[in-house]
Amino acid sequence: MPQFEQADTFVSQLFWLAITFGVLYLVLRYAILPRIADVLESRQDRIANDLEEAEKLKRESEEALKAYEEALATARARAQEMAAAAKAEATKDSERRSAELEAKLAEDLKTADARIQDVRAEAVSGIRSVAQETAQAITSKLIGIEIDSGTAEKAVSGAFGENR
Amino acid sequence: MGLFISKAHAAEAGESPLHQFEIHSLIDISAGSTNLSFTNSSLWMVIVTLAIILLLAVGMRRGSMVPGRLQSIAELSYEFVANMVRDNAGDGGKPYFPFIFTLFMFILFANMQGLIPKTFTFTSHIIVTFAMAAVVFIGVTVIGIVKHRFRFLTLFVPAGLPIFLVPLLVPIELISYIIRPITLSVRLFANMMAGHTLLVVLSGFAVSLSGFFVLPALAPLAVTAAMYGLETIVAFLQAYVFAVLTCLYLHDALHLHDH
Repeated sequence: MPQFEQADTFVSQLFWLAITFGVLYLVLRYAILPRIADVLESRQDRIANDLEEAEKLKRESEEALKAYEEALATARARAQEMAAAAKAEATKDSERRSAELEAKLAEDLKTADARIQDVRAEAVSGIRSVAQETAQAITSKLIGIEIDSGTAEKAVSGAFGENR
Repeated sequence: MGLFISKAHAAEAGESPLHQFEIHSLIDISAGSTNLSFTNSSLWMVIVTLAIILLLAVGMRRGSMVPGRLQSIAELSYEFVANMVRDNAGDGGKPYFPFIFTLFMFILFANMQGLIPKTFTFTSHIIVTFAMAAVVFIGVTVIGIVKHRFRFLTLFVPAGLPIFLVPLLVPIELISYIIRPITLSVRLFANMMAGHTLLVVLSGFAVSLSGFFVLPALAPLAVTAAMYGLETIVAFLQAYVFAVLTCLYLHDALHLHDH
């Protein structure tokens, strides 16, 4: 077995093992391992930071959503209020107008009634004077008696009174 | 396939399957009477070292937030070993993380690289694995003694032990402690050596059989391919076991029996 037979190479093997292992240890210990540790640590930090940031943003967005919902609810309430107010106003307005219209119509009716009364009275008095004159004319023509207007008027009103 | 053929050639040429473990000098160096030659073993130690540094350095050169493929490999290996140390060594194991990381990567790359044809597996040499195990053993013992002074000796006395069992169990505990560098190193060395020897024997069998019957030669070839998959797992597993046991020994030294 060369591993035991070549004992004269033992020192050489140990010598080169010490050199290579020593160099490897020093390079890894002081150059490479700290670098890997740095990278891993900074990545860890970065991930932790990002998670924190994400958490913060999530909280903020939740707050914004809540504020938005609140604003929406307020706006809706106000809109309903305004709509109700407008409706009440409109109802009142229309009620007022219809009342006005009714009042006007009633007045017009009254005026018209009065006029009808007037016209009727005028017509009636017109008929009376015509009847009086006609009665005077007829009496003078038929029996030749001139009657004064007072008598004729009395007769006419008597006839009207009987007719009524 | 290249490995099968190249290793098989060696087998066919009448060489021992152990030939692959032979060390030969590439550059002769000596200090006084001691031989410090740069050998094929040294070459692969250097290559493994450079490969690890290159992989990690290139992987981390940008150090981006979203890792690419190489950076993922670097980060995964870091986290893999970091978790191993945290879970097995417990509190106070963190300062030794760079050493355990180096140890794990060095052994892992050595084992994996050994499966590439024409390479040399320096972890199949007991002197190398024993040196690493000894460093772990001595280091852990020193850490334990510095931290706990004389209380460190309570490591050899299991908690709640009846007094009459002390003379029996303390030597057992002591031996099982002292034997740690041997078990640790032999486990890695034996696994590597056995696997590689088996691969050469099997592939050599396939090659020598194919000279007579082509179809039946496919059977040992298939077994060799399956063994190759198994050896890949073993290569990882042995690096892992070595590192985990180092963590556990460290845990013993740091916390003794109290958890």
